[in-house]
Amino acid sequence: MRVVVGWIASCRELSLERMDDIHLALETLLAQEADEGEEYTLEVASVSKDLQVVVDGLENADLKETLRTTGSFEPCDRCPLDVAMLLRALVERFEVVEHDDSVFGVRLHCQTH
Amino acid sequence: MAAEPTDTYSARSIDAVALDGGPEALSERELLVRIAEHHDKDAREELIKRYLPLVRSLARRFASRGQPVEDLIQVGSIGLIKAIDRFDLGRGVELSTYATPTILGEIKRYFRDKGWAVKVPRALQDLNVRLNRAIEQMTVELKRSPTIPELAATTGVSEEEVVEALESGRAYSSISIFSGGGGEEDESLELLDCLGREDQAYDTFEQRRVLAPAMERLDPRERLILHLRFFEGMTQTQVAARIGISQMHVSRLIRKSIESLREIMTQPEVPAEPRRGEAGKSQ
Repeated sequence: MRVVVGWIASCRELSLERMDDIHLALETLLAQEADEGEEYTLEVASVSKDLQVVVDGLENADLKETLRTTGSFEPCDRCPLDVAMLLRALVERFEVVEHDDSVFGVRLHCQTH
Repeated sequence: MAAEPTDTYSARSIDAVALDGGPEALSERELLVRIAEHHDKDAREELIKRYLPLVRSLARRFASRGQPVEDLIQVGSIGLIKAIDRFDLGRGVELSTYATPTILGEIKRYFRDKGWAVKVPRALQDLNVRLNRAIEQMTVELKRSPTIPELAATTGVSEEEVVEALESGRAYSSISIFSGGGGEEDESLELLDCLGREDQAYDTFEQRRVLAPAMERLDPRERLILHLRFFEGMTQTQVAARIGISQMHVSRLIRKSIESLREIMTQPEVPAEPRRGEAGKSQ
């Protein structure tokens, strides 16, 4: 995952710091997914001058709730950190990508300049 | 006459079972109750024995990283013991759910303390050192962190090599990050002067209610860095300039601090405020 983002950062001439923010955002999301052996997909798209990074295959319902809630954060065992607050500092904006089943994704909008 | 206790896991009923069959005859929950209520060493031993296969399984995931698996099992066992000792039955989660990240955390901490966590070829280590120097120098010159093509041009290697070396560099963590000491700590008094002001600002955020108990357990510099980055909205470069360390170092400390926060927030003994729907339980 880091190498993919690293290569995109190289092609789009992102600063190391910008690249690191995207890395950290993805790591923070995946760190909430404790289950071993799960498969996740990473999709990076260039939209205008910005990047859209979608990490998909997430299953932590508490994480999804945290990301969708606009009110105050309440920690729980499966989502002890306010991930939404962290993401707001790391990327321009983010949104939950809903699927029919319990699996979901998160789309990160990242400025490249 | 006092009513007989109806709780299945009361000490009395468990003692009766234990007399019949010893701790190995008890369920996991019964063992945990005995540990919580009686500090029962036999029950603790039995639980450790039952969870050792999990420790072995988790340790084997790191088998290719240059450390003997037996050492990793030993380290993972420490994590298991911590998990058992800290486990809170009232949280309503399985011990395995709580123990797995604790064991993994202990193993990862062991690798961090060992320095290079994976076998990295010498050439890549050397390139990583050169890149770190170049990054520091270019960040000052450009007033922002450099891009990978800029780094490649400066160091005379390909962009692929830069990406690879930066990734391999993540396998290394300098001792100063984890010891809290080192050459970049000289400004500690100035840092402590800052902290009073930052804490006042931090008070204004609703998140303080949730995060404060955990934040207080971070060291002052980590607390300040998290505050500046996530509450003040500073970039890593700005935080680095404010504190007087490199952007790369800020990056590593942010990761370490977030990981520490996550661990602290999942430990049962955190003296946190009552959570939603739990009013009165913490009395």
